[in-house]
Amino acid sequence: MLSSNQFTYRHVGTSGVSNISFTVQPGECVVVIGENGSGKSTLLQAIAGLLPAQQGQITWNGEAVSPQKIGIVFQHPDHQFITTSVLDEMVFGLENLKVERSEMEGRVREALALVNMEWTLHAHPQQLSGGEKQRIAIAAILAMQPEVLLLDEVTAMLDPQAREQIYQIIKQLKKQQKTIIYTTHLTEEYAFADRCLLLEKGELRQDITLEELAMTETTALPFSLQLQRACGAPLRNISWEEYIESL
Amino acid sequence: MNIALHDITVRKGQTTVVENLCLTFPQGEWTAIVGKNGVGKSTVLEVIKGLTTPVMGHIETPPNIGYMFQQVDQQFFEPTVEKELTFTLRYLKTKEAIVQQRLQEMMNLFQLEPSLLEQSPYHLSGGQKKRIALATVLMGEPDVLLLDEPTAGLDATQKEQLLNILKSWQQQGKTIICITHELEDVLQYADNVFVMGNGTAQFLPVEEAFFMRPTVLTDAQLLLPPVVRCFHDISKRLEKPLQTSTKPQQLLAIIAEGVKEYGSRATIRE
Repeated sequence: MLSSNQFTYRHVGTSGVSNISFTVQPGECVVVIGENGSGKSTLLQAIAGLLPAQQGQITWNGEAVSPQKIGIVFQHPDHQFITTSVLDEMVFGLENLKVERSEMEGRVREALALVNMEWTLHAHPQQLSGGEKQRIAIAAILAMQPEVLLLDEVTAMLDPQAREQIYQIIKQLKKQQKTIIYTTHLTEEYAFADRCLLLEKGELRQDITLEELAMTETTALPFSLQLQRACGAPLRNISWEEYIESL
Repeated sequence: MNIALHDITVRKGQTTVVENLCLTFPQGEWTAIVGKNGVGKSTVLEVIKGLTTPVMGHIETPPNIGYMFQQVDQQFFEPTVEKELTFTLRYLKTKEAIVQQRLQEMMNLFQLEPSLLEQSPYHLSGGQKKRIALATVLMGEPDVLLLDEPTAGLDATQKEQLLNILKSWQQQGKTIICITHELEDVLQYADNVFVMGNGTAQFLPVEEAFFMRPTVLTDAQLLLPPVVRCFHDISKRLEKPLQTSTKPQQLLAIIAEGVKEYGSRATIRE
């Protein structure tokens, strides 16, 4: 279980997060939402073990969080790439984790297959499109077999077609019961989550299900929930197609 | 005046990016340019701005055209926001009283805190950078505004604020040409849509594109927003055309009525 207990990290100035407490069970998928500057990225970086607690703590299965157990993918995959081929990029993280060479090939092939990018093994990461780069960035983290996967606005700079490919990956990972925590501005993307953490000015305002969020006055909802609400139907986190078929 | 492209062909290296393009962007209207990556959307803006010279054809444009880059960092070069905002007017030796008046107008329009003026534009958040970049362009009072994905990376509130500023600016008779991937925004804000595919291009009013001829968008391999897909699905199930609207809440209400009607018919069928 991931547990954040009164976690505080303030950047120089006023931004950051304060007194954040919540838990995430293994296999859960949680979305962190809030306006720009509300502390979403800070929280994800803290969960990844990249920011030290100034107060409180974040633990995974009772131990302090660390990048060995928790993988994070950023909005700009270019920030993550440091080598000249997809293969080297994938292997770099595994070498740091001291994974046996005999095990590496299998891990790399499996991760690339999951994101449907096997053909890029010898390509230069910078020659790929934005969507392809992002899929490689996810694969590189997945090859490290993290116990929790963090996705920080990974679709923000992608076109809708490239986003759709990322959605397929998230659906696949959910089927595998992967623990996922992600941030997004796109309301349609809320629908992947079992729960929403709503941040405001660095504080956790709400920890609710999507159905509970739809019972508030917000219009920032996936279309399906907006439609169900407009129809006065009992709210369920299902697609609009499933809702209409259920009539 | 309208912007008219006459038989424009653009080549980059050996590749023909745009071929024999004839097109008019009407004055005072908001036209969205949509299409998959690599079909030449940015090239059309570059031709209008004069940053790319076509190998064939000619173009008629008003003289004062503003251009907001996709990566706004490429646009900044001054050490403070105040210098960035006033650069063009001061470069043109505009009277300082007018510079200050325009600056105040922009600060009101974009709700900029005075303390922001002394900060470096490079140190702002993504949303603030976009607002400063747009304000800088609007300081020059252009007749036409060219925008390359102005809302990418903004949160819902910032996006709505930016698009509403653009709408109010357009309503003063100005022309907007905006590249975007966000078809829901196109539906809500634009008057026309220019759909670019591989070797194909069509210009049509927004309502026609989304409600009457959505295949123009899907043939260009674009994904219709869920609200539009649901609209067509319900219309098909009810076997009748539904009323259309480009206003999100009205469109949602129309669809919800359709869904309820379909639901009651389903109950009768049972």
